[in-house]
Amino acid sequence: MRNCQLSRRTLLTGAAGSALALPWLEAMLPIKNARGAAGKPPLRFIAFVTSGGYFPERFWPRLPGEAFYPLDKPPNEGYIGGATGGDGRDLTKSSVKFTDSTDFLFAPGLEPLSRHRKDLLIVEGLDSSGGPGHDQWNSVLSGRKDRVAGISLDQAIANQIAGNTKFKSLNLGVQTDNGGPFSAYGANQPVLQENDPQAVFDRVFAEVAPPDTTAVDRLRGERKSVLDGVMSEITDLNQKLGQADRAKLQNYFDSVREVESRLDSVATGASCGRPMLAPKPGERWFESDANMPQILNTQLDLVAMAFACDLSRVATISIGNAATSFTMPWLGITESFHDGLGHAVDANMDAQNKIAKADAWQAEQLAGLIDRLKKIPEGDGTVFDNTVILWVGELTKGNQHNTDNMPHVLAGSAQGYFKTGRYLRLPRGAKPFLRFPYSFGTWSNDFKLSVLQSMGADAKTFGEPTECNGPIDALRG
Amino acid sequence: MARTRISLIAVLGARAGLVKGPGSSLALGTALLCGLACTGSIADNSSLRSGARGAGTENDPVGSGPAGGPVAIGPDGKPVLPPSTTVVRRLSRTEYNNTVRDLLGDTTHPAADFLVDETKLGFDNIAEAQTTSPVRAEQYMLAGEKLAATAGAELLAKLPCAAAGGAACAAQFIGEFGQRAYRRPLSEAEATRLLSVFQQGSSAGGFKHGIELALRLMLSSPSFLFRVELGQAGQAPAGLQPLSPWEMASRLSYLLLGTMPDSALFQAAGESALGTKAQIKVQAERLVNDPRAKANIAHLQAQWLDLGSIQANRVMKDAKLFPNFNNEVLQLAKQETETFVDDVVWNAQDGVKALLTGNYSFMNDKLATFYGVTGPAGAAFEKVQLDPARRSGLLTQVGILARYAHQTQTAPTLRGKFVRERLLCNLIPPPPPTVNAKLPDPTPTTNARERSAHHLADPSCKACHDLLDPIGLGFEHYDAVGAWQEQDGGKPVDTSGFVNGAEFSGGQTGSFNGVPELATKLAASPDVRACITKQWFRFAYGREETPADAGVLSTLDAALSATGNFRELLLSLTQTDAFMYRTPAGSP
Repeated sequence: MRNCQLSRRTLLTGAAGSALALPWLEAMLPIKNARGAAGKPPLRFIAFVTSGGYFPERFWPRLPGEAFYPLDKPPNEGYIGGATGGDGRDLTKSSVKFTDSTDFLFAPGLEPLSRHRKDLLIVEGLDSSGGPGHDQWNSVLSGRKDRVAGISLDQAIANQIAGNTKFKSLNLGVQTDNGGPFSAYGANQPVLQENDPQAVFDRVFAEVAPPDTTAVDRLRGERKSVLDGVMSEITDLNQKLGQADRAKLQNYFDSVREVESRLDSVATGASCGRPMLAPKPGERWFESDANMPQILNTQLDLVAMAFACDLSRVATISIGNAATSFTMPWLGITESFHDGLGHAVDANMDAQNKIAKADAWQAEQLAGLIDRLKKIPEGDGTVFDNTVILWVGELTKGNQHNTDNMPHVLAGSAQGYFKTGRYLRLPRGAKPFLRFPYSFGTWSNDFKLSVLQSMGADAKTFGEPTECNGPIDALRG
Repeated sequence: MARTRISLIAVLGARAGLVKGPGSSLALGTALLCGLACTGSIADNSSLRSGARGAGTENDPVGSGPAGGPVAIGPDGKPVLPPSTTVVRRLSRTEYNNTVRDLLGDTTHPAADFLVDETKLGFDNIAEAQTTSPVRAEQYMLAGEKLAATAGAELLAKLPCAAAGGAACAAQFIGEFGQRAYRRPLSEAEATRLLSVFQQGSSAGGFKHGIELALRLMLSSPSFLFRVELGQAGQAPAGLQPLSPWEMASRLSYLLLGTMPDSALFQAAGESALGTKAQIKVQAERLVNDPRAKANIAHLQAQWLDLGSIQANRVMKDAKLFPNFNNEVLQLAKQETETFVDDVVWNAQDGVKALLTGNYSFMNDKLATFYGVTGPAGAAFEKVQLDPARRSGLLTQVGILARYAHQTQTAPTLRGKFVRERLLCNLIPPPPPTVNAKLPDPTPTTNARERSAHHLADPSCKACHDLLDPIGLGFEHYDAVGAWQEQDGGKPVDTSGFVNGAEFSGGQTGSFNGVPELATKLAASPDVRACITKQWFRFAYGREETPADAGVLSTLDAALSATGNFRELLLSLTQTDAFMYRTPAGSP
C-alpha cells in the first residue's frame, strides 16, 4: 500500500454497451517509471479464449495477390487452410518450408486488430487433438486429450512468473455457465472461471487504496491467525484420516496456505489505483447475453488494472463455453451461437456471415485489451511490451467439431522474444480419413511450448507428450 | 443371462460428456474404439440389456457409466473389486447456503457468488470431483468475514453472559455454538484454538470482535465446510466401520434435507440414539415430512433430468416457424415439469409409472392455450387431465420436447439420447471430430426420418445412432416446440420406434409406436427402475457406484421395483450398509 499512489480514484466501465474510453488511464499517466532501472520488468501472460468455432475463410490473412474469400460465395465445407502438400507435422525441422509474410492483408475476421499489426504473430495451420465433441473445450489450454488431464498453459506459466504477486492467476469469464473449466493446476485440479466482475473486483481490489490503512493492517493480521487456525485443524484431522480423505483436506490446506502466503503482497506500480465500478445494472446482470460487451469490458479493465498494480501477472479471459448457447443481440445475432450458428456454419450464408461478424467483434475486444496494456507505462515502454496475449479457440467449425487449423493469434513479443508483425502459414499434409487423433499440420502444443519458453521456463514438452514435437523456432524469426 | 454384459458400454461411459475419466490412459483407445463400442453393443442386444442395472456382477464388474478406468484383473482371471470409498465431501453451494441459513439465520445465499461446484455424472455433490482451489478458499474466508459480522451481533444477543463478556463466556459460546457449526462436540484442541483467536480479537476490538474472529475461523474450518467422518469403534460387517452418532446425524440431514441437522437430530446424536437401522428410520420418517426435503429432492431431480438446461435464451426456436413459442412459454413449461416431477415424487403411489405415463400435468391459462387443451382460467397452475393418446408424462412435456429439438426442426438423436442417458443410464459418446453434426434443413417434402436417414445408413454413424435415433423418431408427433403434429414434410408422421438392448417386462421387445407406448414400456422396464435407483444413489451418497455396491443397489432396486414409490426409495437409502457404515479410506 505504502508503495502505491493511492490518491487518484479511478473509474471503470461506462454505460452499458458503450465502448470503454478508459478514463482512468488518461487521468493517471504517471510521470516516472515505477520500477526503476534495476532489471527488466516482469513478464505477463493472458490467454484470450473464445468458443463455439470460427469462420476460417474470412479469418486468416491473405498474401498480396491472393483473392479474398468472396462475401457471396456459397457455403464451403472443403476449406482446410494453410499450404497443402508435404507433411508439415514437424516444424522443428529447419528443412520444412512455410510461408512467412510481413506484408499480409487482413481478412475481415481479424481486421479490427490491424491497428496492432506490428505486434501480432498470426499463425495459421495449428492442430490440436482434444477429445471428441465438446470435450475439446477442456483441453484448449492443457493440450491433453482427456479433458483436464494435466496442467494448463496459464498455470504452467504462473508457476514460472507469478512470483509473490497477490493472485497467482485471474481466471475470468463471460457467460461461461457451467461448461467445465479449461484451466488446471494439474491433473483433475480444475480452475474455474469467475463470471461476476463485481465479485472479482471485491476480491482483487479490496486492499488497494482502502479508506483506513490501519484497519487493513489489522485485518491482515487477523486473517493470518484465522488461516493458521484452519491449517492447524486440517493437520489435526489429517492425522486421523485415511489416504483418500486426507488428499481432499490437503487440497484445502494447500489452498489456504497459498492464500495466506500472499496476504502480505501489496499493490505496487505508478499506474496503480483503485478502480471504481459503475453501479451494476441489476442483480445477476452478468448472466444476461445483452450485457456481455459490458461484462467483458469490465473484466478486461480489471485484468489491466491488476497488471498495472502488479497484483497478478497471469490471466485467462474466456467467452462462453463448449456448447456455447448465448446470443449476441448487440450484433443482431439472436440465434443461439451453438445450435443456431455453430452447427450451421457450412450450411447457410446467414450463419457464416454472423460467425464472421462474431469473430470480428472478438478481434475488436482483443484489440481493446492491447490498447489498455499499451497505455500503462512501465520501464522504458509499456506493460504490453512485457506481455504475451494468446488468442485461442477450442474448435474450428462448429458443425464439424474439428480441431484442425485452430485459431491462434499471438500479441506481444515477451520483451522481444517473439518476432511479431508477421503472418505464418504453416504447411499441411493431406487430410487423413477417420484418423484420431490427427494432425496434418503442426501441433498446437508446439506453439504452447514456445509460449511457455518465452516466459523463461525450461520445459522441453507441453501437453500430451505424443502431440508435442518441440518449440516452433519460426516464431522467433 | 440377463445381467451379463460386456464392458464396452463402460468404455463409452468413461468417454461420454457426463463422465470425466480419471486419467488419460483410456482416451486414445476409447476414441478409436468409439464406433466399435457402439457396434459391439448392437451386435449383441443382450450385452446392453443390463446396462442400466449392472453396477456389479462377476461378469459385469463396472456397470454402465463409471469412469473408473480399466478394471484390474486378478491372478484368477476375475476382476479385483475395489472397496467402495467414502471420501470427505465438501458442502455444495446449495448445501452451504442451506447450512448458513439454519446455523446463522442468513438468507442472503452467499454461495451464489462462489465458484460453481464441479459436477460429475450431472450432480454437484460428488466428492470425487470436488476441488478446493485458492480462489474458493478465499471466497470461504471472505464470506465467513461477512457472515461473522452480520450474524455475530444476533448470536451475542441470545447469549446471556455476553453483556459481562470475558473469557469464560467466550468459552461457553465456543463450546455451544461450535458444536452446531462443526456438527459435533469440539475437541479440546479446537476449543482452545478458537479461544485463543477470540482473545486476539478481543484484546484488539473488544468482546464482540473476539467472538467475530472465532466465528470466522469456524466458518472456514474444515469441519464446517466439509463432512469429515472418522467413524468409531463398534460392530460392523467385514471391512466396514460404524459412524459416530454425530456423523450419522449429518448423513441423514444432508441426504434428506440438504442441510445441517436440526435440534432433534442433534439430541438423538447426543443420546447415541442413531446406531440402529430402526432408530435411523424413525428419524428419516420424521425428516421426509420436513418442507426442506421437498427442495432438496427437487434439486436432485433437476440434476438427474437436467431441468436446469431448460432455460430462457438457451432453448430458442425459429420465430417464423413457431410464432407461438417464446421465453415465457418455455419458462411456464419448465415450471410445469418441475411441478409434475414434484407431484410424482411426493404424491404418486407408483411414482415411476406416473412420471412416465401420467396422463395429467400442471398448467396455467397461457400454457394450456399453448398445448391447445382446456385448462384453468387464470395464471395459477392447476392439475389438468390430458388425452392419454397424445400425452404421457414427462416425455411428452413441452419443456423436454423443446429442449431436445433444434431451432427449426425436431432432434430425434437428442430425444433418443435423453431417454438413453437419463432413463437407461447408458452413456453415449459425442460424435468424433470432423463429423458434420448439422442435419439438412427441413424442406416442404422431407420428414425427420428422411433427414436423419444417413445416421443409420452410414456404418460409421450407425454404430452409435442405432441406440438413439430409433427411440427419438418415435417422438415425431411432437414438433420442435412440443406441439402435436400429424404431418411432417407433407406426409403423415411415422412414430414407429425401437429401443435397442434394454430389458422390458414380460420379455417384450423394444419396439413401440408412439411415445405413450414407449413410456408404458419404459415405466415397467426393470432397467429404467434400476437406472433411477442408480441416479438417486449417486446424489444421496455423493459418489459413483462401484462394483462393491452391487448388493446395496440390488436392495434399493428391489424396493423401487416393488412399489415405484420415491418416498420409499428415499427411506430405503437410509437403510443400507452403504449409508450405515463407512469404509476406512486407506490406512492413516
